[in-house]
Amino acid sequence: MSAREPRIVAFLCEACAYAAADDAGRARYVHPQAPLTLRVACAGRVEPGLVVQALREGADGVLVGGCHPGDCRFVDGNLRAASRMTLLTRALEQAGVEPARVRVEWIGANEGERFARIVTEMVEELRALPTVPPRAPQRLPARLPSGGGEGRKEEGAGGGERSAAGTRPRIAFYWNASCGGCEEAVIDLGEALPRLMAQAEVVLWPAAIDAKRAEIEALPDGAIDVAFVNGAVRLDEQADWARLLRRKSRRVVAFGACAQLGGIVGLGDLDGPEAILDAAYGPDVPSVSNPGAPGPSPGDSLPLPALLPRTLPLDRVVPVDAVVPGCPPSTPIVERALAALLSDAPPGGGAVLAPDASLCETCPLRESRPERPALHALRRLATEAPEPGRCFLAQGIACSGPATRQGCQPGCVEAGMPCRGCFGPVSGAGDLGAAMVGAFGSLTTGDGPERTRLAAALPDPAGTFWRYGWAAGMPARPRRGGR
Amino acid sequence: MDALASPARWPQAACVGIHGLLCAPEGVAWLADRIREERLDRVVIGACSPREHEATFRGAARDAGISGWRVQVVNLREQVEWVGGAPEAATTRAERLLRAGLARVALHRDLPRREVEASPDVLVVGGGAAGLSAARTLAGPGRRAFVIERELALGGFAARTEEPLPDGACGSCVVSPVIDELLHHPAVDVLTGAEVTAVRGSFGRFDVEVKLRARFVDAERCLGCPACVEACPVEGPDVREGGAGLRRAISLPWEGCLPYVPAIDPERCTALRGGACRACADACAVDAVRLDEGVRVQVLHVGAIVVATGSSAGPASGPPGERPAEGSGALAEMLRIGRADDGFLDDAGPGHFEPTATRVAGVFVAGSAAGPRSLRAAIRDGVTAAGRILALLHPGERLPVEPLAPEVDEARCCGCAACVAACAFDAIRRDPATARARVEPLHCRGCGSCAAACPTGAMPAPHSTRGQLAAEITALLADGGGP
Repeated sequence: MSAREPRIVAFLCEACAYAAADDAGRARYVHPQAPLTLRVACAGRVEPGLVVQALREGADGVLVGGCHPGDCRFVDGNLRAASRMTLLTRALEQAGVEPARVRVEWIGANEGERFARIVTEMVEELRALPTVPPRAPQRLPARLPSGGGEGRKEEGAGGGERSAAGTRPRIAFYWNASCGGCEEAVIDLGEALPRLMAQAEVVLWPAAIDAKRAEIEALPDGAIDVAFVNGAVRLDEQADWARLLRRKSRRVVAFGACAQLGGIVGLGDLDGPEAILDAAYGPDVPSVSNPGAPGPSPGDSLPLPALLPRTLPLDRVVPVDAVVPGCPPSTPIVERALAALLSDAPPGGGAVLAPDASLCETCPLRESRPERPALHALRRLATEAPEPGRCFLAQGIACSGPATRQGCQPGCVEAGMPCRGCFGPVSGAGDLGAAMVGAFGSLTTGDGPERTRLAAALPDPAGTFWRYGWAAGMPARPRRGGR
Repeated sequence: MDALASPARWPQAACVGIHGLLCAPEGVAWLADRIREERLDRVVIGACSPREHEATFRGAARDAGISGWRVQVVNLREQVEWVGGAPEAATTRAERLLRAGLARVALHRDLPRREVEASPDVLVVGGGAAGLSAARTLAGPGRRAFVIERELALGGFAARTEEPLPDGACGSCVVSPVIDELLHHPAVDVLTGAEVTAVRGSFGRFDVEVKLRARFVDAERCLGCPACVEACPVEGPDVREGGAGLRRAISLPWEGCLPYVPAIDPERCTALRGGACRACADACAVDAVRLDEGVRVQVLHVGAIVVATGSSAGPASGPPGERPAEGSGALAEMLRIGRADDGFLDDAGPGHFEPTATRVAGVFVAGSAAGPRSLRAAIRDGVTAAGRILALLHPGERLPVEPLAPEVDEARCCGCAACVAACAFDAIRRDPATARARVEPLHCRGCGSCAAACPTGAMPAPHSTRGQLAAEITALLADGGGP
């Protein structure tokens, strides 16, 4: 049972569902004071990102109300909404978000009774579900006062940005929950790496040098010029490290997709920590031999780090000055980022150090994009080879290129595979997954059921459109049980 | 209400007031006075449904010298007070809704008001009895009628039927005089061999793309003598009339047809299939044969459209009876008008007093395109549709341009064309020169579907921007307002 009455964010088309809500009041169909209504011109205006935002900010449910099929004054805005929302709700369901939380309903202007009934039903269903823990509104990487982190005093204009005039800048590399690919990305600098080592003093780099936590703790605050932190924050210990490095560093850089958005690691949130531990160490895992399953007992000392309830991108733990995106960041992007960060005017304010332009614009397949893309069928890479030389979206293959930043090149599309968005969203996209669901869901054609069928045919929408951004974009969910 | 209207509760508002009857003339004057006296630049009004008086309050704002777009009406009557339930629940919800109104209105921007001159001209699709009667009624000073006919001669079913009327008059006796009148009418343009290939725009400003197949004879020059037909060396069975009789490769569409101009069958003419024969061209005394004529595409700018595409007899193998003319389904789709289950076009319009009207303003259906009709009824339909148009569309009339038409943010647009796919009105194209989306405001209806489709945030949906809706959501869910 919820502690409070459910809150429903209701996007209502002004011609039909909004008029029906008026009609419900006019006819005095008593129903719960639950809908928090936004009047929209058409259900087709409702972008998936707004639904995700509502859930993230504590809505218990979302209602999208449009006209009955055939009645839309914009021809088929309602069907477009249904197609997009099908993709979105399937992704949410993958994470255990109950289907009752997001409803798309066709409500005619004179159907006040139906509107009241839907609201009443929805409130009853939502009351039976756990309350949504509200989360602060999503922000771009937290902005810091120009050029500084926590505890840092602004230096004089002539003082430069360095730890001390004339000394080599101190840098740190650290890894949280990551695969090691980001370390490789640094090694891949090749000949530039020894130059960097000569130019800067590396005080911490677990993959390459022996430095102890105590040594970092012993440094004065702000002693490190730039700390590159890769990996998502998955453990309490990683959050501690992030905070320690924040304190000791003038600039903290989220390095790689996991630090920026949660990355692949964030997909673990589809199942939650218990299911992850079960899958890795549970009694049913064939490689685990633990007869009697002894676990920790009271009084035991178990100084192992604890899994956090969900994956956190670095900027959810500490303010981040700059982001080097990618999985992994490409060599040119790393080179440019290093040059910029070690320069006299290093970037700050959460700047993403990759071109703020869509991958689509440099895609080798861009000339094959149809004038009016329209999907009649979806294709799966698992069962069909993509047609060479043809835009993936035009073939019915999900590709996140439009919403994704450049910086990988040559990357997946050059290698004949669709983009999965590892360089993160362009600045206008908002949540990359939601943006691509809005776009991809707009390409389906046919009548209402056909479009919904097409949208439902895409396997794994969460892992497709939110492959790298689930943790950053999606609402936290109380999970009950495994999948 | 008094509690809600306490200024202390709304620190972000410069002025809070209550009026008992805001929509009455004295209320409107009071509102305008407040705006002037307090120098308000934005107003939130908690009142009845915006469907009732939004226009009234926007008018008050304009009276007071600010744009009507700076008014946000929050629905406290139909959707809060009349919903019923505990008064406290209603009050707290009202507060949330008002807070959202304030958050939203702060982001409102004035939208420019633009007008274009409407076209008084009318396109009649189909040159049968219904279309002819519509065109005849419409054409006159200040208004052109374009009649397009798929066949190469006018008159449709009636022109080739022995006794279409009970009084025994022959079909061509009924329609030929009218065809002749229209062919020589200064305000009528007849295009034969023509089919609609695209329709954009709305009432008062449709752009209709028409494809004209070649006749290979210049109808303006041809005098109707039989010299070319007699000279043609290609003769074969006349498949059009069931194989009875012989027919030359250049021949009249049918005996007694109007316009009385022969045409070349490109399937049979040897010259058009690469041969050297020029017999017809050599025989023509007025140099009217055009062996090099190709398919032409023409765009007609009209204010209204009458669909009079007729019907055809049932297939030989199928059930007897009429069925919609071939291609009328595709035309209905281009026009976005409805069709009945049997495929005939929907002429039910918005009500019983609008016969021949469709669900799309400015598009009418006349004659047997809407179902079996007698010749008399078809002619009456044509006049009915024309009469409605004469009543609605006046020469010189100016129409507002959709203020909600988005302006593409070219810096963000990646040219993926998801918006093109999302637009039901064909109002968006990808500009081949810039590879950016471009919105034709005259074709846009302001539904906002493109904004939900755009993966890069390049489509702003004026007055329904992502920023405005996001601010509304955040305010609706913000804590501190009770349940």
